Amino acid sequence: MRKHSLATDIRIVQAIATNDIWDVVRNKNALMVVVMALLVVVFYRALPLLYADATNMSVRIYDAGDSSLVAMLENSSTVDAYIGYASLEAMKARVADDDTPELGLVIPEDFDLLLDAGTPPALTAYTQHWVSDRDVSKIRERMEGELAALLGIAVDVDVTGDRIDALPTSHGLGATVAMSLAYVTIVIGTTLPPNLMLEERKARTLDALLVSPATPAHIALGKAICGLFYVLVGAAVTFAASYAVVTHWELALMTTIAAGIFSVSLGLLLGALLESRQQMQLWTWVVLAPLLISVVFVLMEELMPPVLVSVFRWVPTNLVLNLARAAFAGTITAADWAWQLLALLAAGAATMIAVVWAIRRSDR
Amino acid sequence: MTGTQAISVQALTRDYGAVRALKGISFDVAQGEVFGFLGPNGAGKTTTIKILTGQLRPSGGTAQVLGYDVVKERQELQARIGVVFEHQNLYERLSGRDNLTFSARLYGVDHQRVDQVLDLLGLAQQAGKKVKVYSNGMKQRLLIARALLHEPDVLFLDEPTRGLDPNVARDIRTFVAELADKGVTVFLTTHYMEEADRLSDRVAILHQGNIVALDTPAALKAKHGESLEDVFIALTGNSLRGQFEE
Repeated sequence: MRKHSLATDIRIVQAIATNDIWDVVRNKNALMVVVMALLVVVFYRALPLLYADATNMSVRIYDAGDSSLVAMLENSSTVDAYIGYASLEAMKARVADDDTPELGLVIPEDFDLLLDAGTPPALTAYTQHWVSDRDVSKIRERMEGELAALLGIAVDVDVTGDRIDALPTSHGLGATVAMSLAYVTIVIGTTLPPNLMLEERKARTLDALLVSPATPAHIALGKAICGLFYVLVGAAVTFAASYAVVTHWELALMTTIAAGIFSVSLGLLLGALLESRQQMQLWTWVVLAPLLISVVFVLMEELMPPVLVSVFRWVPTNLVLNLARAAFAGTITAADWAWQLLALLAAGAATMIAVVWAIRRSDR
Repeated sequence: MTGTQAISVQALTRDYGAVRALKGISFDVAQGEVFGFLGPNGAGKTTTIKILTGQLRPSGGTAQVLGYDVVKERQELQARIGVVFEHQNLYERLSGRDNLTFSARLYGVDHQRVDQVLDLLGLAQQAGKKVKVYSNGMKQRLLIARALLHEPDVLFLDEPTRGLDPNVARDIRTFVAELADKGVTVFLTTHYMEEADRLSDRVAILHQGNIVALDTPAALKAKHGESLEDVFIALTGNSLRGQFEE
């Protein structure tokens, strides 16, 4: 039975949420949860830069004929040339799978003939959609310099055509960013609310809340909003670090919110059931480990048993991963994301029902 | 003491598994009365307070506070009662003022009231400091300030002077007496028999889940001993020293 007006409910929930949002900044345990998650985001974003070859230029080549240029590029000490693609599309798909800026170079069938005639054609080249125009220019200039050095004649490289969009199944930077989005939303949402609830229990301030007009539902909702706030902060940092990757912002936002609802619900459930920091440390990782490890299984699907992969695809973290990959892909259809989004929302709703059960059980 | 009941408890029971902590207690507290609720550790005092403040459901019987059923009308009840807990459950990382401002938001109380209660409890000068640097006495005063913020009709005080130095304890007793003079009903649990004797209009002694005595301090002393401590020991068989050593 409703006892409060909606305005009162909103006022109470807002008071609790605001208090918690500020408290996270002052509370080293809670702040550490957010900071550590954000550090992982920064780490993931910086990782490709760490293993990128700073000296050599990476070029994937589709050779329509049998050009001597391929051998020259392969033998160049300043170029890492990758060849052997059966089609232009195969070469583009491989470029899309890279998480550092790459050039996909197309050598036309008649290139050598025209080169011998002294009129080499401009070579069409492609880069990933998320590479900045400035970087594209740098790559193009560098490639033109390499070609001039190898061929002794100026050859234009045309990168003005379409960029290479990722596929929803692509690896590459999109998958790396999707993985950090899944990590940041799940870790913050799952660990922050139980930390806050535990602090309230430890300091016995929960008792004071429970004799105020705040009901257990108000308290849970206030903490959920705080958790969701920091999930959104984490997602905002993730997107800010990799905004060029996102092609479908509306799907990225829906994915973030659905991931936040699921993870915060899971966090509330842990907060409602666990009563000590030791219990929380144990059970948080018991819950998080399969959620996070299954992401690795799906990303390494070629090495895993297909049955396992098809089951793991429906684990909520993998739903976040795949929805985000779809949000970072080129042309997508509803089939690429609708069922997964529904499944993620259903997981959030089911967990929220468990939270309501746990709160009612403790409300004695 | 007026004829209107602020608290009415009938045949209240509470079980924890197979253990019956409250065995059907009944009592009334009149509006404006200071009601001392005494008993050894484990007698059921905290359980009773938790039931009366809506934190715990009774296993049987009924309890009404200000006419509200403590189970069915918990939210209305909680808007009109104040609770000072035995433990100093404050947000230590917040200032005293911020603690009260948070409570003011929960209760929908005007922020000016925060300054009023800070003045009332003598905390205005220290209001901006974080609670973690407060002394025990200041924390206790802040707890009382928080409980009074929304001008409750019934104030539950659970060991309000425990562990405080004598001067602060005396200030708090004086303050409680002043509240009672203003018509606030006070439900007081304490281990200090002298405090209960001085402040309470009536005293109930709870032992093993039963009320073994309920009367004015004077009537109890007349019947069982020279002091309320004698009464307590006579009725419960517990020495007060033992209470603190537990």
